[in-house]
Amino acid sequence: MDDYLIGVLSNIGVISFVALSSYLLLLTGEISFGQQAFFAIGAYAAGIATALWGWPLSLALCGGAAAGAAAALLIAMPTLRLHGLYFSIATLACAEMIRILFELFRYQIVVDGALVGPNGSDGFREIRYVFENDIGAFEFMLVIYAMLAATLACFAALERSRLGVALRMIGSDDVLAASHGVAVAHCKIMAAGVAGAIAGIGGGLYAHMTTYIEPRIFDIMLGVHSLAYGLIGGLGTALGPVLGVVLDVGVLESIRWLAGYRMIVFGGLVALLLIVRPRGLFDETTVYRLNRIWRSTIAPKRENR
Amino acid sequence: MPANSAPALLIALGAALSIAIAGGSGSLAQPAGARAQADIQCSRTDMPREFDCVVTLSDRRTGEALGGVDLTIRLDMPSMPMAHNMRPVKATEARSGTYRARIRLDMLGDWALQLNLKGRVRDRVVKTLRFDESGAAPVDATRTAPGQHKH
Repeated sequence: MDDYLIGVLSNIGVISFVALSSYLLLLTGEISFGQQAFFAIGAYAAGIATALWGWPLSLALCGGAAAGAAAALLIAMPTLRLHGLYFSIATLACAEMIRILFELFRYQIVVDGALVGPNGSDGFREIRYVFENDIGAFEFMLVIYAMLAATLACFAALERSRLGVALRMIGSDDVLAASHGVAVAHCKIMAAGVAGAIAGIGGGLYAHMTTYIEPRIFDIMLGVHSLAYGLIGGLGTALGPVLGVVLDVGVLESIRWLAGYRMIVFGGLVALLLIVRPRGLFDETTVYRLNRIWRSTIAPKRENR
Repeated sequence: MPANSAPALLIALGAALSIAIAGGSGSLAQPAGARAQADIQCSRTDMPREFDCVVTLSDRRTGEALGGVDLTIRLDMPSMPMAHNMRPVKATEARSGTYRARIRLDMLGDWALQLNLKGRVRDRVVKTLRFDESGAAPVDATRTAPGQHKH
C-alpha cells in the first residue's frame, strides 16, 4: 500500500471519530457545531501526555478521551438547557472560546535539547511518539481502524440497548420521552460526555498521526464537516457518518481536477442530497428495510446451512 | 432506567481504548539518533499554484549537512484539516544536504509541509508556509501575535 493511500485511509479513520461524536448528539436531536473543540482537547491532552510526560500511547489516548469527556460534560450542563438553534450557537461559541484559549496556551519543557509543547498560535510540534517508537504509517492506520471498529461495536451495542432506544426517543420528541419515564437531561448529558470522549480519542490519534497540531486546525470548518457526515451518510445507523466521511473524501478525491473549486462543488452536492434525503442515505427507514430484508432472506438461509 | 446501560457503554469504550496498546509500550526516553533541522524556500513557477521548493537539511546538533536522505514532502492545510489529500512529493538531492521538489497546490494559503526523512536519518520536520501570488514565506514570520492587531 503506498503512502498516499495510507494517508487517505488514515484521514478517513480519524475524521470518522469526530463524525461519530456529532452523530451521537444528533441522535438526541441536538445539532452541535462544537465537537471540534473536544477533538482539539483530546489532541492537546494526548500530545502533552506522550511528548511532555512520557506516557504510553494507550494511556495518552485514554487521557485525551477523559479530557474530551470532562470538557463536554462541563459545557453540556449549561448548554443542554437550550434547544435547537440556541444550542447550536452556544456550542459554536464554546468551541471558538476553546480554540482561542489554545491560541494563548503555552506550556513547553525541554525534551532532548529542544523546547517541546504547545506554543500558542505557533502550535504544538514534535509529538513524535509514534514516529520515535518506530510505528510505521501502515501500523498506525491499523491502530486507528481497530479503535474505530471497537467504537462502532460500542455503537452497535448502544443501538440494541434501552439507552439507545431512549436516545432516539429523545431525538424524536423529548417531551414524549420524558412522559414515558426517560430521564431526558441525564441521558443528554451522558450522551454529550461520551460524544466528547469519542472526539477526544480522534483528536489524540490525529495529533500522533501528524505529529503537529495548531489551533487553526480545530475551527468551525471541522465542526461543520463532522456534522455534515452524519447528515450525508444517514442517521439510521452509526455506519452512516462513516459512510459520509468515505463519500466526502472519495468524491473530493475523484474531482481533484477541479482543484480548489471542488470544495464548492462538493458543498452543492451536499445541499442537493439534504434536499432529497434530509436524514441522509442510511436514514432510519432505509436501515429498517435493510434489516427486514436481512432477516427475511439472507439470515434464514445461513441458519439452514 | 435507560441510563443503567451507561456503565456498560463506558466500560466498552475503555476496552476499545486498550486496543491502542498496540502502539503503547514505549517511553519518553528516545534513542538519541540524529535530529534534523530544515530550512525551506519556495518560489513560484510559471504554472498556477505551482512552486519550486529548496529544502536544506542539517543535523540539529552539529549543523552538518544531511546528505543521502530519502526526503518526501506531505502537504496539508491547517485551516482545512484532512480535506486535501495531496499525493506526497519526493524531493531529489541537488547537492549534499540540499533537496529540490516541485509542489502543486490545490489553492493558495497556509500549508503545513511535513518533511519525512528516511534512510541515513529517520526524522520528521513540520514547516508552515504561506503561499500567495508572490511566493511563499514562513507563517511564523507573517503571523500577528494575539493582542498585536493593527487597526
